[in-house]
Amino acid sequence: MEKILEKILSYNKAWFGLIFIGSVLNATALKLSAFNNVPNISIWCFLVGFLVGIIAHIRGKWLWI
Amino acid sequence: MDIANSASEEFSFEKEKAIAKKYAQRFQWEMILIGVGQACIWLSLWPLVINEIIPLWSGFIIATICACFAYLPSHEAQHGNYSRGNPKRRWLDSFVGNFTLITLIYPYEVLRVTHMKHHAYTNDKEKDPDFQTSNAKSIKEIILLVLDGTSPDYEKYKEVFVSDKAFQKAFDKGVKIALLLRFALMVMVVLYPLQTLLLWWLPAKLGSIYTTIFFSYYPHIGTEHGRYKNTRFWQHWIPRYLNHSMQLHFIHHLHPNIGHYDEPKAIEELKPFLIAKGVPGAEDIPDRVTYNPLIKF
Repeated sequence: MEKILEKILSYNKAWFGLIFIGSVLNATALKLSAFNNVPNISIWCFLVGFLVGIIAHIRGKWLWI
Repeated sequence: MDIANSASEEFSFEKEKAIAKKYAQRFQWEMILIGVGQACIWLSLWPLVINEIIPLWSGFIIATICACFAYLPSHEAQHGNYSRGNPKRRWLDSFVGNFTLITLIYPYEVLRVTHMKHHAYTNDKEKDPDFQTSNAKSIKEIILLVLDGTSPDYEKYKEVFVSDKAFQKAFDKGVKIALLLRFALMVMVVLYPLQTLLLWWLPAKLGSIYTTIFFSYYPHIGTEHGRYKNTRFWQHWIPRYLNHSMQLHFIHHLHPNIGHYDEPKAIEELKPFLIAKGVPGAEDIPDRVTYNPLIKF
């Protein structure tokens, strides 16, 4: 159980991207009329969030510093 | 030789300590009020914003101010300045330390033990957890480091102090709180995405940037190793009331038990000692520090 938890936590940046960035992007997109007609906008938002998180996970940091 | 001896006797550590002790007795009620107060104000923002009683943008501004006030009360707790060695009051250190840091999304125990190491190894590249930020090349670098969330690299210091059992125990305790805070952040962002971004995450980042610049960067610029050399007196265009009087941070490194609001008076009395011991910038300390905004353009 502890090992599974450790494994999950080792992907913390990916989870943060998916849940945090994805949720924020989704909420922002729903507020902007420009995205009203984009099909499956929520899926795209969470996907972008997850991708950002995965890239950060691979690089080991969020920013280019 | 006699002159040197009498000078060293006049400014002996025992005499310095005796003066400092006078200012390390008072109950730090102001800090408790600030710590608990800002956390309560910050918590109250959530129902106010969610129920649209106040707009999100004003909630964001208030939350950011709260975040800027969040660290110092915890810092006093880290040094046990509420309990002052009384075991019956130790809960107060823990309570204020943990509660005030919710705004900044930091675990108290991790900050406490790493801060103790910062005091023990100030400016040591390998062992000072604040080294990266206190020796940053510019404010821009600090902003990027804090935004990235990679500094301080707490995991690195868990390995550095692997043989320190007390450190490890407290660190592990702090990690549990860190996970709880992260979990709470994730739950809140799913339920209230923009509110969580603008009431919690972004204010916490801005508060951390403010704290790192004024608590870690400015007081240690260009300083060396050693008790009297690792922190400096400095002045700034910002009045000290807006940066938590961190111009006076050097006295905290010398005598961490002096209460924050008693530091100006302690410095006034200890000024000859500070000059004699060669504290960086000590010659520029004004005779009256209390109520002096210490502005310098």
